Amino acid sequence: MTRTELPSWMSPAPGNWGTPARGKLTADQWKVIATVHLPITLIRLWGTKEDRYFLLLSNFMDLSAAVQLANQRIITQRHIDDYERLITRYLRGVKVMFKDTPFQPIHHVSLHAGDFLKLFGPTHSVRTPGFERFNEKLGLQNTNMKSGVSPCASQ
Amino acid sequence: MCRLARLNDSTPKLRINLGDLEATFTMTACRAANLEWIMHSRNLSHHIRPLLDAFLKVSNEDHRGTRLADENHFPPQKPPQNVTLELHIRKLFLDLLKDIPSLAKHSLVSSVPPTVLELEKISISGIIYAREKSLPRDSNIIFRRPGGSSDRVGRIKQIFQSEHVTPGVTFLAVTQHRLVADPIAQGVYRRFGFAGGYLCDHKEDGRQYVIRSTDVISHFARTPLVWEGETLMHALPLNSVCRCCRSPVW
Repeated sequence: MTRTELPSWMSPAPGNWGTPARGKLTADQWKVIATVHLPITLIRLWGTKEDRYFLLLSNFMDLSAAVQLANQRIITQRHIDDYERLITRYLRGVKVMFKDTPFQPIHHVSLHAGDFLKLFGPTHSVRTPGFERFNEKLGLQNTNMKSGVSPCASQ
Repeated sequence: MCRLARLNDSTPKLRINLGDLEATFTMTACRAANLEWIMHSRNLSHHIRPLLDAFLKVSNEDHRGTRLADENHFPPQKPPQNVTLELHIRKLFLDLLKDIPSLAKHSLVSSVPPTVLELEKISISGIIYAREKSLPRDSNIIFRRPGGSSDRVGRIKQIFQSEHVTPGVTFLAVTQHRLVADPIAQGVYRRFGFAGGYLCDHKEDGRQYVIRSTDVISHFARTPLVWEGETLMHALPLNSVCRCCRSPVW
């Protein structure tokens, strides 16, 4: 991961992700992990195997490709069709491989993303990274455990 | 949406004469846009170096994956310089002009002088590409040769414009990384289509091309890796603009 050279518009994921010291990751960091770092590493490790690892890899790559398609700056009907095909195949794979893991609401939502792409076009026009910046600033404010009365909030 | 949010934020801060909002806003926006170029001008930049450094630091500050610099379509850069093309680059440049005659202003392509305007960076479809010497991270590209149909992996060595070609066309001198020929090794990655990327030789193969900026497809993530004892390079395309029409989904 640390050896991967990314363009300046993309931040690498933190090296210690998944540890208690790092804590929660942002959506953008998860996206970089799922679409860049993990495909490179997992294909190298599992790409030549023929057992369950390869099924896990194929399943994960369906998700990775679906995420990339859903984040395109230009969306066509073919993008949407490919996205819906991949995300459906990914969820079917999850159901087969992780039988004791129930689906979460986010899995359900992912099946509607194609509808939103059809209605509103590329996601960059409706997603809210600008507000994410404010969320971070608000989250960093020291409120002295008195939510709602901090000067930042009242202003 | 976030651009509009920025606009909403900046509008109340404007000093306006009531009813004269449009003109005031246009003037302020133009002043802000000009300020950046003035700050980077050759005469001024060394006098205000600390201010410039702070400005760039703020612009490139990463908050939850967003940067102010990403909002700018044209990247700040040093003023373009007149340089003389190296002989082999010039030959490739002239070959390209011969292949695409509509690019050259004059019919006699060989009379195009070797002096060109060298740029540090270029914005293509809103994404910044730079030459290797200026910003190696932004110099890794997937490209196609003019008229070619296969994707190639390379690195930008030089970005230039010429007064003797159609205005607005920018050229890039690119060195290529050869794709690994071993079908098994390559197939492991290629079976996953655009999401899997390419396996290439770690070192550039020495082949150079001169291409137009429109022949650039995307950046790629460069990762050196060892495959069966051999040092190779993995190139993962980071294409968020035109993936559908170029790369099949498996």
